[in-house]
Amino acid sequence: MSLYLQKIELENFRRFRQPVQLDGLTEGLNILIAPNEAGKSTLLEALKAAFFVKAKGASKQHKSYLPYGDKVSPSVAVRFQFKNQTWQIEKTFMQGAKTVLSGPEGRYEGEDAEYHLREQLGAVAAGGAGKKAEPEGALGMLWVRQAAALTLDAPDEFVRDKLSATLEHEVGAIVGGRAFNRVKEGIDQLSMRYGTARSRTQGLYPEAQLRSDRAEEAYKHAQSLHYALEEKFSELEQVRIRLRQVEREVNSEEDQQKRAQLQKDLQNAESAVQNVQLRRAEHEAAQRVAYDLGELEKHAETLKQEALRIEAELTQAQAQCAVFDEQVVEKRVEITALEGDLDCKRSELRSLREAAKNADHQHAAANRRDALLDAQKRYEQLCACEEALTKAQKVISLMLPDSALIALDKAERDVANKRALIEADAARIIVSGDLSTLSIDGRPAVSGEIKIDKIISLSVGGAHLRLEPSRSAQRARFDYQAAVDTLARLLNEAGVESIAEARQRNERARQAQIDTKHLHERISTLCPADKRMDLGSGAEALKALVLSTDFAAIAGGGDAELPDMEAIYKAVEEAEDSLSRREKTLDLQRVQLNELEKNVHPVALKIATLRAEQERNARDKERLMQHPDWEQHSTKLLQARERLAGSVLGLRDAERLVDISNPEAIKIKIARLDQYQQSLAHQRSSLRDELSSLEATVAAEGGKGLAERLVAAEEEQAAADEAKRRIKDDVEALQLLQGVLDEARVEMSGRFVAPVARRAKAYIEKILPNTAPGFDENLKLAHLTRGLTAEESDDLSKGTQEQLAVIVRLAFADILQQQGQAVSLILDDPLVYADDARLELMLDMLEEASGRLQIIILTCREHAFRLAGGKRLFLPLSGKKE
Amino acid sequence: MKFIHTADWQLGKPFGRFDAERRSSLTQARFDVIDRIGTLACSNDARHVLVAGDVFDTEGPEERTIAQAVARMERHACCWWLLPGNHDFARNHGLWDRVRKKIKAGSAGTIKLLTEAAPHEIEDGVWLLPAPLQGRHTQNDPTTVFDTMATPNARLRIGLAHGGVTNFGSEYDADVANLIAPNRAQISHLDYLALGDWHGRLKIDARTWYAGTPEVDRFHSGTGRDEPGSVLLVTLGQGQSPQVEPLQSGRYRWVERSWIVDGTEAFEAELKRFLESTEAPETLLRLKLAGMTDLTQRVAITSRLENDIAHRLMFLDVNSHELLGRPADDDFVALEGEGMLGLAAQKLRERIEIGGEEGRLARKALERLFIEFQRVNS
Repeated sequence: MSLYLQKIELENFRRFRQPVQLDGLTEGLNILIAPNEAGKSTLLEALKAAFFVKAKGASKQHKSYLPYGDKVSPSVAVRFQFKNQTWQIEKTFMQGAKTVLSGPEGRYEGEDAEYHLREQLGAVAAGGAGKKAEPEGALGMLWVRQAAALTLDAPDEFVRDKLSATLEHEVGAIVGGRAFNRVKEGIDQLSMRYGTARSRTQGLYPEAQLRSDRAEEAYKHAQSLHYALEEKFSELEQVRIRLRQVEREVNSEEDQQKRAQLQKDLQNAESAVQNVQLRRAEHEAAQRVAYDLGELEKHAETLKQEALRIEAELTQAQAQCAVFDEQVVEKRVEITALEGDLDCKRSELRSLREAAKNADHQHAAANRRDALLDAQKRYEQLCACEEALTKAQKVISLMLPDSALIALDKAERDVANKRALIEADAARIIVSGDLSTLSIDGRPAVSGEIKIDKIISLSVGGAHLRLEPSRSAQRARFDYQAAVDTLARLLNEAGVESIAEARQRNERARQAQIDTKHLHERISTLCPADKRMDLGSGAEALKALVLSTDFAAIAGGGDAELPDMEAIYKAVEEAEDSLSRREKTLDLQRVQLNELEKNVHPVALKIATLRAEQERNARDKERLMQHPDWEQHSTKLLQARERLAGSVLGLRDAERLVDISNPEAIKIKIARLDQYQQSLAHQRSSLRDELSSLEATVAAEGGKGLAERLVAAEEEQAAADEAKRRIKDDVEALQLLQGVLDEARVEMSGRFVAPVARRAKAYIEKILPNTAPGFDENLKLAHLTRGLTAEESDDLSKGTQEQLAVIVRLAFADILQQQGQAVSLILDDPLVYADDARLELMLDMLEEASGRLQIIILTCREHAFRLAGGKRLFLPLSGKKE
Repeated sequence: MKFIHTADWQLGKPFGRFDAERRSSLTQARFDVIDRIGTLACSNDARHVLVAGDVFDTEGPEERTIAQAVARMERHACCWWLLPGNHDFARNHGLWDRVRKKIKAGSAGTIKLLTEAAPHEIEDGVWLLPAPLQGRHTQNDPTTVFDTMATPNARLRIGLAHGGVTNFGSEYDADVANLIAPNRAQISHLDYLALGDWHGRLKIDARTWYAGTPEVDRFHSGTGRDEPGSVLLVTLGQGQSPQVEPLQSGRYRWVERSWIVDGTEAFEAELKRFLESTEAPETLLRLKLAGMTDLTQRVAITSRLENDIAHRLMFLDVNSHELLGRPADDDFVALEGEGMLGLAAQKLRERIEIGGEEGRLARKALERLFIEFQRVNS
């Protein structure tokens, strides 16, 4: 047990203003249970202050020890055992700062005390300079602040050095840290200066690369320019060669000769063609002569044959014609006889018909006279009828219309009615007695009844009586007078005396109408049409006829006897029959004659034709005889045929010659030759153009010194490549060296990390079976390997990380303790993320470790640690500073 | 009759592998050598300078290159006979037409361009028979035309041609084409055949010479090839063997050396010897180092070369791949005491053992580690 804290006392330290002490800590596992805010963390801070922080100073850290608002001097005192000897460290901060270390060999104060403390415990007391991270040595790592501190950080350099002292012993290797680092730094700087292929811009290598790239580009550019010029040169040369060829060909003697030869050939060929034409003409002429002669002969023969034939045919036709003529003559005689007879008969008939006609006339005249006489009688009747008609018309004209009659009737009835009314209303005076003195209206009165329907003046003696009817009687009287007036007017209008007269008159008129009708009918029957006198129907015609006819003359003729018409007509009929029979016979005869003449006609025609032919034949023959070649034509024909045979041979020879040397073919050849020459001339001119253009280009481009530039670019490229190669070689050597240095460092680290890993593995396997820890060269737990998979420690769960942090500290503590270093483990509120099972495992592990070192666990979770062994202590602290 | 025989001026050569300053100097030197040749001609009573091809490095040089060349030639009172070679072959509207346009009438010197294979009577009875190259590659012997050239009343016949009489070997990039009959002088009854193409001076026979380049332009391992360039002063007499006298014309020496050293001492001895033998500012050195030494000494050697000698010389190119620096035991003890560094060194040594490309890199890395370690410790 290297370090064993026994007792801690505090005063004026943060929340502990009053002096407190923690006593009774055991060498093994101590579990300090305190509720939140009871001062656990302050206690750990006070311990760290006692061991690691120099008393003198007024840094932020120093000031943080002061209780809030007080200007006091925080102090802390710790009693501990180290290597079985008891020590006490007492520190007072801020005002009156002091350090007192009491040990088995005596008592030290101030700097002396700090020095001894460091020597003994290996703790590094932090100066007041206020550095950010204060190395606190092994204890600093093992006295772990609350949660946050329990991470998988690498131990600080101080601890590492401490650890490596132990590890070096184990691995037997030396880690040349300082020299290594400086060498590495030098190499890295050199490497930076060189740069790498990846660094694009800075460093020798990229520069060399750039130079090389540029050189290559420049070379390619120069090359392309140079090649282009060379191309032009070679084109120029080719054009020159071609031009020479063309010029040679233009002036080619061979071609000129060839052309001359062709020209000659053409002439020959053309004369051959002419020859053929000549021969052909000759041949054709000979052919024609021979043909003509042949034809002449053939014609003569034909004419001869024809003459014979005509002669024969003519004889035959003439014989036939004679026969037919005879028959015709006979028939004509017969017909002539018939015609004579017929003429007699016709004149006979004519005279008969004349007689008949005369008889007819006579009959007609008789008829007319009768008719006229008849008409005269009817005329008289007609006149009587017309007279009667006139009378009737007069009667009819007096006839009253029906309406007038009705009106008369009505007026008559009205008068009667009105009268009745007067009589009905009128006063009556009965006159009787002596009536001598009495006069009525100046007239002597008569007895009887006097109606007073009008004013009546009576005078009796000298008396005068005026009798006036009553008013209504007066009115009736008036009406009656009016009706009477009306009737009188109507009668007057009608021209009658009375209605009865009117009726009578109308009755007569109606009778007259009927008579009129009958008279008209009578007149029409009296006036029929009569063709005999050219008389139309109607009275007027008749009247006209009668008036224009001289009846006296008519009356003169008349009684002469009329011929017998029937007998005349019979005689005529018989004559007609007889004539008709003869005519028919004549017709028949004529038909027969016609037939006969028809037979004659073709024969006559044929004879005529034959005669014409004969004449023509004779003419032809005459003409033939007159033909110039007729004389000795057979000899001539023989000669012509011989000439023809000769001309055929001549023609064939000439044609063969033309076939061999066709002038058209030769002309084409000449044209081609000329064309070729033309195209050569054209080529020559275009080649000359091209040549001068190329010469200009070459002269212009050649002046640029492209070849020299190309060689320069080529050499620059080679030099750049060489430089690049060298630098690349240097870079590769440097990279190799860097790689090897890294390898060495990793390997060396591995060698001294191995023991740590080995120790940690034993712990880790308890919570994570089959898991191997992997530490980096800084002794940081970097990864865990489970089976084949590795896991970054930073990726582990917070709980596991915390647990591993505890385990790693245990492992470090083991190693440091083995080295004789002062170690104890204080954990402030640890394992808060652990589940029950892990917690149990971890507690077991801690309990086991507490057999080798003192472990103090500060916790607020009493329940969680209920199963843990070790000693339990409680906060708040009690008791007073001794 | 005296004339200067020269060839292979290679004007316009870019020297692209050199930095700008050196490039400029080397380019300038090629122009300067024309002046020197002109001066040599005059001082030796030679009226003619025969340039046997490759006056220019390419057929398409910069205008300045042509202008400079012409201007330099024109200020010397001699006649320059320029023959197109394989680098500056003649073609229509090509380089020589451009050169022709630059030539000024009435200047001191005369420049004659031999672009046609036609003989020239350069002095009374002295005929020059040129064999210009009309293309980069000519399969036939360009000098066969000599046989068809009429040289009436010839007192002397001088042939001028460009090409190899043999394939000079793989290192030299002579084309197999343009091969010239080695006995051309004899065949064509030449009193002298002036050849170009081979950059070193070479005598084929008494009458056939390669003049070599007047200003060296490359490293060459051949014997005597690290001397400054020269021209030939040729004296001809009828029926006499030609007298050929080399005259130095070049400025720079291009030297190749290969030293085997086992430590700084041996290296310094070699270095001293070399520096004494040369004009350092006008020397270009390509040095190959081989041998085995410890790392400290190797570092000292390379740093001496890089930080001192390289500045003294016109140019230095060191190949020290074969100078194997192995750390001394003491070095290793020191390294091993450093834990991780020791482990790294151990690992590198293991890789060196394996060899190959990685072994080479590992050696380099180890050297670097060692240098850095020393730097840290010092």
